[in-house]
Amino acid sequence: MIAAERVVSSYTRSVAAAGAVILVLVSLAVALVPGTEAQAFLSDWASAVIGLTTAGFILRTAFMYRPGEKPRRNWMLIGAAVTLWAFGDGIYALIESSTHSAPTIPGPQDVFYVAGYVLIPVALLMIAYSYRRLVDMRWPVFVAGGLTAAMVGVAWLGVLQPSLETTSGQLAARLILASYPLAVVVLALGPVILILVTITRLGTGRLAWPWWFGAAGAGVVAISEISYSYLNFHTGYTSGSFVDYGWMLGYYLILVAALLERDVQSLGAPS
Amino acid sequence: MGQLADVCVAVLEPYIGRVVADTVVRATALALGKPMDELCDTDLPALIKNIRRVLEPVAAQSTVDDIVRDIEMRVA
Repeated sequence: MIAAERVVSSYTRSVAAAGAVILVLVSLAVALVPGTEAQAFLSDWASAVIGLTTAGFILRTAFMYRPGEKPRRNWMLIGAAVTLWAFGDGIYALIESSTHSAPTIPGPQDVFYVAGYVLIPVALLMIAYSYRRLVDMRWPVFVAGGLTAAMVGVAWLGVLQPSLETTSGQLAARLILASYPLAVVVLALGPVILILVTITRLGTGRLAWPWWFGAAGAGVVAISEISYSYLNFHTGYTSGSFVDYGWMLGYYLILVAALLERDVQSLGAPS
Repeated sequence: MGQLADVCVAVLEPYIGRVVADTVVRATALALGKPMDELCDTDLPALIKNIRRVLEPVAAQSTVDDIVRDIEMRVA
């Protein structure tokens, strides 16, 4: 096995380390700054900036592939999804900063969030599918399908159905709010599990390294989204809460994945 | 295992892991109608063709070229 220190460039190490330091500092600032409005301001804008930075690194990686190469398309889709999420974060931040209250749901920011959630399952499924010539996909599909179905069942029976019964308001609006986390489980967490189970077969093979981080990042974003929906359902979400750290961490992990991809594929290096 | 199979698995392993590398080489040998340890230099084009085919969706062209060049150098 080639040691990781010989594959991972000093550029990747430096950017990843700087990103980790920034992430910790922003999280500390959000936690320690006095006043919920200041917390919300910091958290909202930090999320948008980190998301856009991540999208920039992803698209840079995508464009290092030659036109027509299959991984280029996958990275461009991931980059587009993260860009849309970051724009959603930016609009959320803009509305909250200017009106001093959280945007209504659904609001203009949701156009970008939903568009991102249309792209992300397509991208994740295409990534998993790209390993089909190396790995027998029947077992990963079986495991991912089973776990996703189980998570949907547990989420519905354990959390959403009791929530629907105990909350008030229009049934249609409550059903839409309740279906959102279920959609995230099916559209994001399911494909994430599929990728993870698939690349497990590659062991320590370096072509799997970026997707350990990429899938983990997409998974963390999805879990944050589910937590956000749940808290929102019970009117318990405010900007600057722990959920926001999840989004930022998810973006950061996807950024590390994009950096690693350049190294394991020797993109940009003389052949 | 034959020398050619050994070389291919050794070159592929850092990229796709031991198990998958072994499977790729074994599948090519089976397609050629012989066991893995009987692969010989004349089977190299078929092996390379299959390696290019399976890696194309997940690797850059330059990465695949590097792998193929490494195999060719080691068996030369």
